[in-house]
Amino acid sequence: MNEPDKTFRDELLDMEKPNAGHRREYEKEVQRMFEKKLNCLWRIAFAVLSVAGLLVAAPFLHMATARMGDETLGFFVRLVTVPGSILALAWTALTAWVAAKGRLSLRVQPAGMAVMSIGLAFFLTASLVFVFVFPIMWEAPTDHRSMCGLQLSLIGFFLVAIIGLCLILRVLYRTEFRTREKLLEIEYRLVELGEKLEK
Amino acid sequence: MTEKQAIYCELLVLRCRRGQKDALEELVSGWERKLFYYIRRLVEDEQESWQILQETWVKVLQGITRLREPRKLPAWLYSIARMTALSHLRSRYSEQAMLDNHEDVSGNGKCDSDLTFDDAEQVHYGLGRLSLQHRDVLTLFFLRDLTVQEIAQVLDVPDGTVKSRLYYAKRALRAVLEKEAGDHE
Repeated sequence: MNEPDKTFRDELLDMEKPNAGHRREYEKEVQRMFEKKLNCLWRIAFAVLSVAGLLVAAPFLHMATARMGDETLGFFVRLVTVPGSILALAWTALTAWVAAKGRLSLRVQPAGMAVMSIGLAFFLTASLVFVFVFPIMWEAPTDHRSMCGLQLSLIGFFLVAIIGLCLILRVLYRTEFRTREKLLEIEYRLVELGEKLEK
Repeated sequence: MTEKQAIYCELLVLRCRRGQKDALEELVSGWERKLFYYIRRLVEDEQESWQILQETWVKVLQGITRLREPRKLPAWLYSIARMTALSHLRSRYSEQAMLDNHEDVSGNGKCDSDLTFDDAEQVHYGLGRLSLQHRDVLTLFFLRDLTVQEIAQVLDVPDGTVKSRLYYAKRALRAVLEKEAGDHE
């Protein structure tokens, strides 16, 4: 496309004089399209998730601050319940924010929620291991409950690892797009530079 | 389309796919004037044209992740706008009726290089007095975003048919403008 054609097209487009009222209505609709406001049902759902986050945070906080008896295990319990408390409180804050604002930023918030969920699942599983499984194994290593507990814990960690892997694959997939984008930006700048040098 | 424009289109599509709000806004603001102008040539009612444009954006945002050739963004946008406009017109205007009875379907497009138009105001006036079929192809031509092959894709006809339609449409436009000039004298 050369400059004379572009000028002609711009003049042609300028001939169209739309009604200002109709245009304002259209712009409002387009803005609504971009904002992706949540309806009442979704906001209630996020509020429920926020309350659920509090219910998860409470036992984590209790375990993080309570005396655990065995000092060695107590240290490990604190090691997993403190991050668990932080993640649960962060989850509560994020879902409460979404419920209050009625808006979900599709680029960032779902990914943040997914990471928090995986983190919570991991620390919950780890807490169960240090609070129940290890003490039983310590007291009665051959007891069937300690074997079951150990197996269930391993299954729990395995599931968390699988979901975490899926998240990582998704991040890598999106990183490919990001890489392609960067390459295109460089290519664009090179073509622009080439045009400037020609002029 | 130049290489720079093709790269820009692909970059814009990628950024839209990543959900970047500023990319989506750039897409809308960069194309809404041209798409509105095109839709307005197909649909008489202005309010309906705005509604069609808004529906077009909904379809674009839903479908942009599935666009296989991002560099063909202009043709894709005009295709969606056209299909949306035609579906609104379908109850009042048969798509078959857009095919002119003297259309050359043999694929041998007639030469139209001696029919040139430089006055945008005249072209804008003249377009409003042509048939729907002529307005459709001429508007795409005058908006200068598409090659003949891409216009053929948008209209879903062979390249030769586009050349033929352009020839007859330009002749009709010339006739309208000459008549108007004659009336003024």
